[in-house]
Amino acid sequence: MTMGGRVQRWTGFEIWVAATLGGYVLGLLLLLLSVAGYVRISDFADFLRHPDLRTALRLSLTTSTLASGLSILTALPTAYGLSRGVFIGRRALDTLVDVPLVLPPLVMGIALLVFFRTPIGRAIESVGLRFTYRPAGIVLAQFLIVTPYAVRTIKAGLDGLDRRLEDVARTLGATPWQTFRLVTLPQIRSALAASAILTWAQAMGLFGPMMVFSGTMRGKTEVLATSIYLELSIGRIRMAMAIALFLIGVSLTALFLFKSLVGDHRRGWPW
Amino acid sequence: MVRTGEALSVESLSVAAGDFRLSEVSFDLPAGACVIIAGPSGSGKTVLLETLAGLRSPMAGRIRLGRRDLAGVDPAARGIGYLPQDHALFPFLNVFDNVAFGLRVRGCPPAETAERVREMLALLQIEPLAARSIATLSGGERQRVALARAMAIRPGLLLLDEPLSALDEKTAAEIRRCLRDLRRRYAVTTLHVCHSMEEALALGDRILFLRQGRLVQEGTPAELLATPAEESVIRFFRLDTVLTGEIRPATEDGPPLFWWNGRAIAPMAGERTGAARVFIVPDAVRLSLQPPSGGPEAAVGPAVYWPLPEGLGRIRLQFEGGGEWTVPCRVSDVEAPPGTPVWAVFPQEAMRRIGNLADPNCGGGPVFRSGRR
Repeated sequence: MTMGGRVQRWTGFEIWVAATLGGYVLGLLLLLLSVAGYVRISDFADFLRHPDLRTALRLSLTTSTLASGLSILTALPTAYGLSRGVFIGRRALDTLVDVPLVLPPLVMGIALLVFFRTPIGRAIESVGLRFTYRPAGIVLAQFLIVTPYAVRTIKAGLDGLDRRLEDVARTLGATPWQTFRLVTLPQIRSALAASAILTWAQAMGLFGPMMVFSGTMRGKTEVLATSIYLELSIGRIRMAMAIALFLIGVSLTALFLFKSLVGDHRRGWPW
Repeated sequence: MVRTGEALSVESLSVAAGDFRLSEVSFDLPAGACVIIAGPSGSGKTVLLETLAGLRSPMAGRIRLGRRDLAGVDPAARGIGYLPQDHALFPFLNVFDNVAFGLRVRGCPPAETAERVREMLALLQIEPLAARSIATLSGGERQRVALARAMAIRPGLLLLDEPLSALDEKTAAEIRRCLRDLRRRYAVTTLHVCHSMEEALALGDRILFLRQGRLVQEGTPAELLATPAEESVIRFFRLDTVLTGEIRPATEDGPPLFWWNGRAIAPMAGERTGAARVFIVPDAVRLSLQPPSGGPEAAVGPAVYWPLPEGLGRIRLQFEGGGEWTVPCRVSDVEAPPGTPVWAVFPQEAMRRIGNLADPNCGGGPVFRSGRR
């Protein structure tokens, strides 16, 4: 291996980079492999046969898909506003949107719990939109936490566009909506797909907010991330590991798809 | 929607673009005219086009196209074809769909759209490219597609931002021919930004010269060449028949005299005394082996001369006191071989004092520019 494909002999700098990169990746790999080494094929079979866990898997897939879809629908106009809007307080708004990124997810769960005790929250629940300790609450928590990732990804896509294409579309007679639909959207298709995958995978792995906001009721509000906790708490370590390994597989696949869509890897060196 | 060129009238247009100001620009374009906007970079040429297209809001002034006042009119409703620099073609659409874009968003029926697109593709000789993706096109092909796309909506005004700048000589000549064909067929009024002298001279009926957001001079190419309003115009046209000297008061009652290289060259009536730069209309210059004795002609020299490459019909003069001129003379006009000392002789009327850039009376004006742009 040579760096940049031209250096013949390794310098100290390159050895330092390669050693750090290699060591870090090796550590991660060992970590993942140790989980894999713990699990037998039969554990997987048990996991997929267990009725409660099958319900949890189904709920995980449904809630994550819904949360991901909702986050894209919200992130698209939000990112457009932040990217194209000229208004006072845009930077403040941009910062606020990022808050869930740095907040511990558990805090978001607590915030939701508290919110639905306030008069506004109560009013929302009283008209039939009930979230607390319900599957809808899972979607809401996932949605709130993953949306900033979608906003970031889509905004990066929008910021990188050549604005003159939109200008020309307007002079050709396109309305602002036509310009957005026919010129802007086609150019950020891969950013949209990438954020859908990223938010979905993130939502699959969320655990903290469910603990406090939607509870961990077996077969009711149990998602796979909660299942790991529940299985561990009753001492079924191997089952917990099987679910963990499944989630690892999901994350790896999603990240790989994300990276190939965003295309941020070096040309000719996808790994 | 069929529309031929419309007259454009711009009155005291002022635009702010970041730190840059386009100030009090006024001009009129008769329907069907092709006018060049020239000027050094940062002079506001692109800002002017963007404002006309409706992509920037002016701070003050009026724009009229045909009988319409364009104040507050949406870019989509202006009927102006705009070609920004480097085309801005839609990379996710093929050639046909690029050209059809304007017609489709306007709700033109599919059959008519197809027919109009075919017509434009044929006119610009790019029919075989219809199904090609933009990424596979050459620079000249892209320019044709961009022209076809802008012209497909039959605009009353066509705005071109340096359409020939990135092309090689042969392709640029082809595109120039395309532009001429389009104008002949649709008589579209055209505003053409360019920063090359050759382009400006070849394409424009008139030239608007901008510098630092101000309209410095307006006229036919011949007028600008003969009486450049200021230094920047001289530089743009790469004219070098300039003398840097001094205007001194006359010894008796006569007019002040222009002095250069330690000699009185010619009287300059009505001019203030002091350091001065004087432009000499190059067409008026002839070469002589001896300086004329008295008379209405002025002469500078001596200089050695050599011809510029065949076909240019120009001669280069190198003065003994420093400085070089390029003048439209032929070797056959001089009865001496290259290298012989000669004098550049010209009528006194061919001399014009060049405006001082800092002098507000000479088009320089207050400088709004600061920092970027």
